[in-house]
Amino acid sequence: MKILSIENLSISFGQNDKLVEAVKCLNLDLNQGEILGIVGESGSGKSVTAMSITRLLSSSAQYVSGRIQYFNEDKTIELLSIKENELQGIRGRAISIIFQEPMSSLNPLLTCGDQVAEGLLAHKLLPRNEVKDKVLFWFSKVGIQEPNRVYQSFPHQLSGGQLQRVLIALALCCKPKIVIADEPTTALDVGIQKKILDLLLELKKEFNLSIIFISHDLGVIQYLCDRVVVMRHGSKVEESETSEVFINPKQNYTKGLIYSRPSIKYKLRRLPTVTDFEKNPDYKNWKDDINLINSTEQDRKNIELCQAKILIDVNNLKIEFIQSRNWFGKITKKIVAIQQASFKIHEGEVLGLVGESGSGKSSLGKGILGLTQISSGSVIYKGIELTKLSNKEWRPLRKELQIVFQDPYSSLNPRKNIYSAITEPMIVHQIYSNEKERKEKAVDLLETVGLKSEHLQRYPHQFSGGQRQRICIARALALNPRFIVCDESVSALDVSVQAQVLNLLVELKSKFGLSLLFITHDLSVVNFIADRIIVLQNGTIKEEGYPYQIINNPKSEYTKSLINSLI
Amino acid sequence: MKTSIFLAKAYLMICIIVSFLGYLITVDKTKYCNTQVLENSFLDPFSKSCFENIRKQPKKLKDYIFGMEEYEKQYKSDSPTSNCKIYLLGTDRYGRDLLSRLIIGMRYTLLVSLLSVVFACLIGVILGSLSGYFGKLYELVVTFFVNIFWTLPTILLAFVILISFGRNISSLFIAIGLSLWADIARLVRAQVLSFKEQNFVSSAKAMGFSDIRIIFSQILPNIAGPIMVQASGNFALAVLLESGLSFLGMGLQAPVPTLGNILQDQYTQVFNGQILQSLIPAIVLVLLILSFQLIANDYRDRLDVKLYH
Repeated sequence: MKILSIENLSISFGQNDKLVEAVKCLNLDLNQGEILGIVGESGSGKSVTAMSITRLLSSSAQYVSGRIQYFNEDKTIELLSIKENELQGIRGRAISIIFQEPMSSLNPLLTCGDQVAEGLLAHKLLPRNEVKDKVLFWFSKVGIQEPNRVYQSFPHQLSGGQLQRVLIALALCCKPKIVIADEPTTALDVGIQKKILDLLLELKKEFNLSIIFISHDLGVIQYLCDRVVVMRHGSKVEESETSEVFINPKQNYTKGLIYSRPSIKYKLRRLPTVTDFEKNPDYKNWKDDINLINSTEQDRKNIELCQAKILIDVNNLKIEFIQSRNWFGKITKKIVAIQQASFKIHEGEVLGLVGESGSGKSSLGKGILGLTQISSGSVIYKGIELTKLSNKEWRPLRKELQIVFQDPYSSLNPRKNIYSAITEPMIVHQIYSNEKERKEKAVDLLETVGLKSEHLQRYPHQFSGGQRQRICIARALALNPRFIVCDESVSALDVSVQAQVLNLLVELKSKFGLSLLFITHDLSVVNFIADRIIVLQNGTIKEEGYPYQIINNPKSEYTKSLINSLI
Repeated sequence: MKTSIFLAKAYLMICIIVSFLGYLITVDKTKYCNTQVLENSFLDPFSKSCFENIRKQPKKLKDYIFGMEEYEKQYKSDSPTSNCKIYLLGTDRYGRDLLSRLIIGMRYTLLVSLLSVVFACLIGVILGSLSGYFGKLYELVVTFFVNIFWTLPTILLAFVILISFGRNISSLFIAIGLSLWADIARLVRAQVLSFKEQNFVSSAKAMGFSDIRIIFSQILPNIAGPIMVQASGNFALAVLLESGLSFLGMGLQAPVPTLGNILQDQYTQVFNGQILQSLIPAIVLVLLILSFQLIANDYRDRLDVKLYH
């Protein structure tokens, strides 16, 4: 039975001269009691579609055509044309939303309990004195351990997972018929992600909910949804049952999305990309013997790498952050980010560093490069003790040790064009004597990372996320480094772009003989790129080994739970 | 563009052009427009008078820029029509042409304000970025001085400096600049603090850029916008302060005209029935300050638009 239907929906943003079509002629139906997954990359219009259902888009959005109908028992409500005050009664009551960022979706000045209570009061469902009990009931329903404490807590006092549970309670407390979940687990760690998804499944059964689940992550969609809609550039690419889509995708784009995601089950030489499937619809040999790296080959490579020279030797590294000092400047409270980490990186090796948020993995990467204060321990690079170097002594070494950050948006200076972003380090280190040589090298680098020479004069905001990350890589390569720290370098990118950047990194690694420290939270990514893996939890190294060892028979409990929570 | 912003910009352009041209367009070409003809004192606007003492026209380029040093004293009581002229805004108590004095006064006011804003920006940007970027001792010292300068009453601080170092242009702009730098330093410090955490600064460090290079070539271009907003707001404050000091007799001394000096000369005319004449310098001054404020607000709005869209 249909409960919601979207017909021919088109939405545009902006003024007449700069009109951007976010959604083009979309048709969707949601049935009673099913979970419909909408999957797509950033800019595919999936969130816009979801927000348009309760007309929550900003005022610059124009509903060009189409209609959205909500079938409530025998009544049909036209959501796009009813009055604003009637819509107020539907928002939260009949159709509610779980937002993506639990940290920013709650008001920091109100307690969590009050915010959920407000929803109940706004719809006048209960007398004022019964509201608190109802909120506590919902808090225990969504699996919050201490409902009373959470009721009194402000958002900053709770963890991301708890906040997401509060948001789910907020969305469900008025017993809506339809729940729209807009990437509800994207900001959470893998371990918590699975628990939240299981909770949603449970609640769906109990309250017979219909859920529209939006995600960029195909794994999550496969785990949760009954039916999938794949969106791209604002239109629907494919729609079918979940099992059907994942076993037998029809469209090239869908194939690309599914197969370009690295897996922990096998190790490839090169990831297939969306363009591969678009150029060649019958592209099947991405998983053949030539592209697959089997375990004997991995063993051989590992032995080779072990015999290579040690490039970086980290011994008992400890990193602490000072949290507060007393009047006399004496340290009263500190946080230990890394506790006694020791490992080696060989020449030409890719070391994967896996850990959840807060495990100290970024601090470790920055600590090696001297970007964070180190409390004790040593980092030896080619016989030089890095931790004791002054800024001046560091300078000549900087060109050999580089870093690529997670967020491609903030890693490029918005006021500098690409030409000066790439050539300025060359000027500082006096690598090339004149401007002509520098320019030639810059063009060369851009072409290496798959961009064009005419991009040189452009500014960062004119590029997409994937292109920016390529620019960051080109900039890091400008100084001919020996070692690069990739700090979550592909985490902020879409799946198809992520595959391209990963392929690029593998290619560059063998071309320039680089060693990488690849920091990530994603085991499947690290399985694809790394020769060796270190698992980090709360600042301590839990396990170290080759990818297939760690994935097939993990030794520590923590690694086991990490692998089990992978979807 | 909104009409008010357009008018503000137009008025400011006129003020700047007029004060640039200076003696080229004034009727009175003597230095400081100080030709006193007592017979002409307290003339109404648009009144015609044939008492004239300037006959020599400036010859050298210097005269056109800085005014003529000396002039012939030639009084003529007969009235050959060729020598008669119209005083557009009338004259003051010494019979000086008010329009000429306003034009040159505008020049001095703008000059002093510009110098003081540049001076304040220089100190503010350097100290603010050092304290924001390096923290520790720099921060302690700079915030200490910022706090001290905030507690001092502006006029009092200016008085002390002007009395100890003399009432000339250089001590005037230093006095005004010193009372404005603290705001800019605080703003720059806050902005540098937030940009310091951005990844592109970390990558610049990882590239081995020196700290000075990071501050001046990576961070400062990004905060030029907010600094411009603050600076144009401070321009209004500087004009106001300069005129206030001149009005109190602590600014540039007679016969140098500034908007404040002229205002002080003229305001008693209200009681003599020449309301228009006493209001004119005040209106010129108020419009000048208003246009600086409007332009500063406009800058800020535009920056906001960039931030939120």
